[in-house]
Amino acid sequence: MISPLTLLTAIVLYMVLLFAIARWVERKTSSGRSPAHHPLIYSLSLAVYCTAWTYYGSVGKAATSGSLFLAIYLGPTIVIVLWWHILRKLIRLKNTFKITSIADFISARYNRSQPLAALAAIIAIVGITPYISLQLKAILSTFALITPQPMSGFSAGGAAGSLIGSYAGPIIIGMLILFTIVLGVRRLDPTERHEGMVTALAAECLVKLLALMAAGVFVTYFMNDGFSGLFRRFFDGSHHEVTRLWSLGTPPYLTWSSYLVLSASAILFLPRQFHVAVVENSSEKHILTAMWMFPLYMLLINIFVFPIAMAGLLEGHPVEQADNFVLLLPLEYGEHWLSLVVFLGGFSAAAGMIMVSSITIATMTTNHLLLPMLGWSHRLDFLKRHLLKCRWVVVTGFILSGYWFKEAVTETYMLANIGLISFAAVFQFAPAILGGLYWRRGNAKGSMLGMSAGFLAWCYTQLLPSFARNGWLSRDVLDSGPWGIEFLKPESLFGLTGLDPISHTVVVTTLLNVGLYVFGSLYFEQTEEEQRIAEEFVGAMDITVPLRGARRREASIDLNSRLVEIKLLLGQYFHEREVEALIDKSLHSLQIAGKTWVTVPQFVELYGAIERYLSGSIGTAAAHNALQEGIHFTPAEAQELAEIYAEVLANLKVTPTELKVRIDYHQEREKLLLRHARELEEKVNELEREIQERTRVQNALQHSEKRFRGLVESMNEGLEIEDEKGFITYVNQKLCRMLGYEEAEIIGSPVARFLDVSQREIFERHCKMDISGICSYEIVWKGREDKQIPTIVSSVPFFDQEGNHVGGFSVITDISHIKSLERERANMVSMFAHDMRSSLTGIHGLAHRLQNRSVIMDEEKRSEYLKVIDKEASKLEYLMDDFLEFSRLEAGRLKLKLSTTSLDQELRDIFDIYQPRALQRNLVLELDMESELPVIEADANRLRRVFTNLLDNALKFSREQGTIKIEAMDSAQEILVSISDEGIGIDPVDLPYIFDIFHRTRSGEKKDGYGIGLATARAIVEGHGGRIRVESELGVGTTFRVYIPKRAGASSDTSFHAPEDEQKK
Amino acid sequence: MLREDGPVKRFKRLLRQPATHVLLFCLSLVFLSWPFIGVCYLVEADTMFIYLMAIWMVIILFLFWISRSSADATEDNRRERTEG
Repeated sequence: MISPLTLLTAIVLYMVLLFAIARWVERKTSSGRSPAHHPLIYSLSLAVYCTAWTYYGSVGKAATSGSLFLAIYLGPTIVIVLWWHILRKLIRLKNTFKITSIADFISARYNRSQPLAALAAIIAIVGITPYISLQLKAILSTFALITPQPMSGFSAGGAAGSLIGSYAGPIIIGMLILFTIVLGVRRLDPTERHEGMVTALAAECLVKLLALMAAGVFVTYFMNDGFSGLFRRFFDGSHHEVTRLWSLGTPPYLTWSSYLVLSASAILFLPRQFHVAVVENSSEKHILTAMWMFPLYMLLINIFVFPIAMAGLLEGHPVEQADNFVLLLPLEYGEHWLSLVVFLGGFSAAAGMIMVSSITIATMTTNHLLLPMLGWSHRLDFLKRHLLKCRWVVVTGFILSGYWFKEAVTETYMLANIGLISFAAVFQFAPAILGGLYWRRGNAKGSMLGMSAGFLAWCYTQLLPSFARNGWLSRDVLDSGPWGIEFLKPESLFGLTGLDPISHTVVVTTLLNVGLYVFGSLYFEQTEEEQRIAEEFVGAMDITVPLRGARRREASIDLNSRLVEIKLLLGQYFHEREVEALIDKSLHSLQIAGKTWVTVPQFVELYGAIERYLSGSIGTAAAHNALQEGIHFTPAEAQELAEIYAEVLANLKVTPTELKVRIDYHQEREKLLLRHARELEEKVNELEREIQERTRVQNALQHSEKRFRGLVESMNEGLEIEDEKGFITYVNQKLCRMLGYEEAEIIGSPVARFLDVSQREIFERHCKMDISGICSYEIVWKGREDKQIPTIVSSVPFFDQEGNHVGGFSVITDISHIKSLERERANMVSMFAHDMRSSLTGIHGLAHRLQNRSVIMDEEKRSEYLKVIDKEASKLEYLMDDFLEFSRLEAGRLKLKLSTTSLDQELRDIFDIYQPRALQRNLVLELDMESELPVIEADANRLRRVFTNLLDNALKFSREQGTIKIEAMDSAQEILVSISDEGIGIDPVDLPYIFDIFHRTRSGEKKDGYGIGLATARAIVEGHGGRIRVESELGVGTTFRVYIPKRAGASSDTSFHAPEDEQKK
Repeated sequence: MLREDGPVKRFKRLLRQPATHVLLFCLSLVFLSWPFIGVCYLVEADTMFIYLMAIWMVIILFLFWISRSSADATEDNRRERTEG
């Protein structure tokens, strides 16, 4: 024995494991790799057919009726041979019509009939409730068997044993309800597919198979000597009835055949079987694997039924306990672990069935019973938004009703008998479904008549006797018939005696159901809509003709107003976000997103898409009704739609020959389309190549543009690009600096903004000119704070292909410095002339005096006059020399007279001359020279002029008590002479122009001179093949470095390396 | 032009025919119902068990072959459609 706590713990752990499997699969599914989409999972999940009835009841049936139980599994095996045709068709229709349950299927086939769906739902609920009770009975009775104290239900709380044991029934029921909701009704899914639940179900099916086989192996090979030994022992005893087909003395073949027929029907038409086989199917190909794997599963799970039944009877157990042999035998032999495994196997068998059946019943009840009822009374409309919670309530109610039925009725039946009652109930679906699949004339009225009659007959022949046996009705009803009319006896209705109850039900219900279905279908005419649907169902495996294939129509339906209707309708069932997503998805899939007007076929397709989606959630019939109420076609639209259908139907009505021709045509067309597709593919490839080439060119262009931009940005000239209206579209940084504006301030402004009125005229004049060609002109730009910037502008116009002027660009060179030099030159010439005139005036005046007053003038005065004349003449000579030097420089005719020159001697002479002058100015003059400089070829006088010029400047700009240094150094190829002072230094602004002619520094106060000296010095030094460099810091001093090559004309690139800033110069 | 097929291929093609499925369905029904079951009833009980199991296994074997041949056909069709 196992304690109740241990057993409950094992159940909880097992359920948690199954839930973990389901969650793992759901996560995988959401990432697009569902393990549930595997034929093995599909095949195993179909084994939900093998419930506790199989697990425990088969042994019970074998012990009482021999091989009869095998018919329950052979019937499905026989019909599975045709699955590739029947089941495939069902699955294809499920996918087309988004069918969610067997009731939904029947409703969809028969003109979306809501009453028919409701009837099917009621049959399922009433028919399956005993089956649920059977499963609960199996779980609870085996729980009682395996635990030490007796089991108790809701009302047996005070029974002996532990508290857990006493309340095990309600606890297990609660767990089953919770497990079912968590695994299968956690959310509303339009497809009603539950990959996680199906995988958990497959795992359960595997567990029950292995557990039963383990029990079978134990009983056959450990308790006995194998199959042959067991059979021998058994037949040596007195149990010959076992393994015979029947033991009741009734006609054997009829019972056997009834079982075959019922089970063959149940394998597809039990709501849970329909759900796992059709609704949960993810691929038609999985049917092929299931076709052999599922019969093999049934064979394996039954292979040890006979040995267990025989062993139980041989052990001396009464045949009434045969349902428990599977668990009882290992338990008696003290195999507790095996008993626990066997119990869990049985629990799996029962729980799997309860879970799937409850889910399907919940779907059917809400979709086909609750929703139509909500349509009658709008006060309960709010429930439409709580369908999920309604399903939870239905699941709970359904399982509890099964428990009630178990408590109330099933104690009087063995497991197998209860199962057969349910089989007989769902058998009533068979005529409507099979007729709907293969008979075009089958209609809703016939189906309603047949199913109603069959169901009532089932209630009368099966349910009523069970109530009578349970004591709820008088047994006289069974024995003598109601009101004593024997003709109406439930178990021999219409005088059909000699049949077992199940065969009797099968015969009676088949006659009534099939007969009335056929009669009703023939008697009542089908509507056009029914004909169309029947055509779609019967011809589901044929080629379908899409509505859009009809003649092209005009877009006449205002889509936006219809979308409002659709949103209002869907809003009753879904949240706004889901509604938007659904509509968006549908519009995109039909390629009508963004359109304002649509054609009737397009709107009908949208209507169909919405209906299919809604069908997935609330069932076909309810969805159809909801759409009919919520979305209306105008008479004109209805007329057009009728014409389209007529056109399609007319197109369908062709002779076989014509059909063959059309098929050939379509095949040919398909080939053409394929060829066309290949050509398109090639074109796509070509386009891809073109795109790659364009990308490459684009990259090259980008690279080129980058380089061009770098070039433009680094150039020393300003550049602007303007459009045809004269607005600037591009400007480089140089021009920004030139004008003193940021780039953003210039872009988009007219060029005229940066010109004065007078300059604008010049610019506009040249603009008109430059349309016909490139031109250069001077113009003064107006920068920030009205700064005037003289420039030379070179404009290049742009023209389009028609020759229209579309803008242009201008390169702007700042000539401020040139203009400044021009001004300086003009000033210098003026000063030069003025100085010459002063000297000449003085000479002229003194000469005139000497000439007129030479007689009266004393010697001293004359001598003074002559000295002044001499001085002024010298000054004139000096001026003339400078002027000549300047002229030569300008003309480039400065010629050197090279001779052997001792540079150290020259420098010492200069030092001697300038030493007194320096002292006079309170300055220190130092000479730092290597002992002996080499003799070089040079123009001594010119070099002397260079050094004196530099020293003059040093004296001029030095501050008192400053030091002036003359340094000389010798290297392999050059002699460096540097003259440095500690004077006021040179403004960095002036530094680049210091050697330019006429340039005079602006930092010093002393501005005498003409700006010729340093220009001349550079010309002389460079004439010797040397170079002159300057380094200065404002307020610190200035150093001039003169590099003279030892050999005249030698390159000066080597030897002394000037500092970096000097190199730039 | 018709191709020369081997016996295996011909057998597979035979198994794919809907008519074959109907035939197998009928044969299964016959072998698992009266009169064959009635005959078995007259012989020893273990013979009955062996007979039912044997018929069951044979049906499963045929179902396996049907399944494989249909799967091959489906795959061939798919390939043909892909290759045009």
